[in-house]
Amino acid sequence: MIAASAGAFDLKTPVKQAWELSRKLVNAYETLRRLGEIEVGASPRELVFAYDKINLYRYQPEALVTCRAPVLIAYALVNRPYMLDLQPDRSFVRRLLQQGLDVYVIDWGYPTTADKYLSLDDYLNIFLNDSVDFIRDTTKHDAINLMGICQGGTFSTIYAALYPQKIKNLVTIVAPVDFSTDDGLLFRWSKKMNVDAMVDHYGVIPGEVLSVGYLMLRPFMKISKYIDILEVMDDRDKVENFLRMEQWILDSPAQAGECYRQFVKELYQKNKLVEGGLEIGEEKVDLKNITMPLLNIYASDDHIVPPNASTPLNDLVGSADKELYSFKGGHIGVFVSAKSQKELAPAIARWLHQRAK
Amino acid sequence: MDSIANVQKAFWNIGGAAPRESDTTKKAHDLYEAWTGMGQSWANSMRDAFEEMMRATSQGVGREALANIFSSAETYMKLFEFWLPLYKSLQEKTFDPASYQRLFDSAQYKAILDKVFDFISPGTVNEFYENILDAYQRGLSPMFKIPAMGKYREHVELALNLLRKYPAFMAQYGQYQGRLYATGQQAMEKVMAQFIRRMKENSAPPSYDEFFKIWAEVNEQAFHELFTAEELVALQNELQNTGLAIKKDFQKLMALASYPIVLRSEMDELYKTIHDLKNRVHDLEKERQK
Repeated sequence: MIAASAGAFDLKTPVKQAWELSRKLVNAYETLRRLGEIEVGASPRELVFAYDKINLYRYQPEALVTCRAPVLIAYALVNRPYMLDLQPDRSFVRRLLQQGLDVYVIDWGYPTTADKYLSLDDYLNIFLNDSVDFIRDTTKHDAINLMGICQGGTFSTIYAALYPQKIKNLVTIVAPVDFSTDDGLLFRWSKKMNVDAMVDHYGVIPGEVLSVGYLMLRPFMKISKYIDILEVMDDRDKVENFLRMEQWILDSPAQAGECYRQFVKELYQKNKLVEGGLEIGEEKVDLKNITMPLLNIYASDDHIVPPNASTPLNDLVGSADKELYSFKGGHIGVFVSAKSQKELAPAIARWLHQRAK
Repeated sequence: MDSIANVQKAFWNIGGAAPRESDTTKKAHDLYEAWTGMGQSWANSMRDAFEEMMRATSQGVGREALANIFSSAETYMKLFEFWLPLYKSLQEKTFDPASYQRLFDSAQYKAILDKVFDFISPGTVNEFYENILDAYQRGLSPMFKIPAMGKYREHVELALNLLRKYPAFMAQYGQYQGRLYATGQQAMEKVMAQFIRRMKENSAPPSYDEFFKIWAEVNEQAFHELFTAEELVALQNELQNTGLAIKKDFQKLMALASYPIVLRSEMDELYKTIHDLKNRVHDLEKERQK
């Protein structure tokens, strides 16, 4: 940084500033060109089940599995699940493995135009249900642990209400459940959105369309981020970390039209999970059916899923054993921050171990 | 690839002098006078170097990141150019609210906001839709020469509908941009107030990087408030609806044109059938497993 000095106007400052920026940009170019492709997804895993475009992976244990019931992680449809396993020192999944959990992750894949008619019914009663059944059958467990993240948390909540007998413990992380809040911009925008016009036009909503919405949440911070990164271009680790995050941000799958329409209309606009009346397939969803232990984690500074959208879940379920966990941080920090690796993953593993029998 | 040489060349083009202390001191006045267009000429010269760099960078996340870095750097420099006269007047203690009004170049500031929000100019939007209409009219010109009756009636009605919606879209687009520009301008006044307060506390003007930080924070807050406002959400939805309605009409027109291509509605039917069949097969497999 070039500090301004007091006194007569000094043109050294602006000239140097422009020169410095030019030099940093060339440096950025050379660094990024030298680095080439970036690897994401650090932990060894095996594809154990596939159906249509979805893939179910089992992660290779990193320690003796001490919590016998497996954990299935369901991530959101709007981003890729490798956020949970970006790199060895920033891997939420790895921390869970090290704590003795047997971890599976469902990858929803990339919908194409042909997937326009995939609905919530397909995602819950076929994709998620088949994955759960596969794990139950192959591991000989009547019920498994389900961990849902963000929109995947909403899915997991609905699923647990539809199939309570198959879920031993439910963990939700930054999951929107009460959509009546006006705290987040996405919640405000979605309430009045003409989702029918959007789905009718696009069929499958392109990832880029959704990305524009996300970028509008913090447009000026985006610029600051790219200016700030110029300062650390000589630090290979930091640049690689930055690129992994960039990779994740840019990798935004399209959304199957019918599912998107239902999610926006039934949940964002009519708040049916809380108000009642949500039907998946031909089944009514009643959150009181959730009687298994619940660990509901929210992020106190979450601007995408504000706490008010997540915390009411504990009052809506029928579980006697339920806990609300406040994580100090934002929506993404929940998985990638040092605090998350150090505190949150062990806390979840501890909670599951305590309920393993 | 000689990007460094290109950047150096671009840099010399800005001020005509290397950043050597003695030279810059001597040429201070000339340089300042030349500064008005400096950001622009810097951006223009750098853009050539950037394009060369982008061409030499293979596809992937690094390339995307580089494009975003260049774009942000351009905004950073545009703001720098905007800030410099203010900085000069502050440093020479000639700054007052009236001079701020004089120095505030709204066209220049609009260009900064266009870059932040990736706005395309109304001219470009215009051109885009004119091209669509032109292509359509050229393809279907015989239709316009016949009376709007019988099987052509629907064509003509759709085409007229399209023509009616387009100005409405442009008006909404202009209104939306206007709200953003107004918010940006108000935010800039708050930035200046904070900047002056900071200067009084520290006796010297904050550096450009400090100014940039204040600018980003104040704007982020101001635009968050704007995007939260019911009125803007409604306008945003109207804009989206009109845009989608235009596209929908256009698709309908294309469908009526009888081109030898598979229509979207036909593909939708196929997708629906495949979806239903997949589910049927899935159910049968489940039953068989039982």
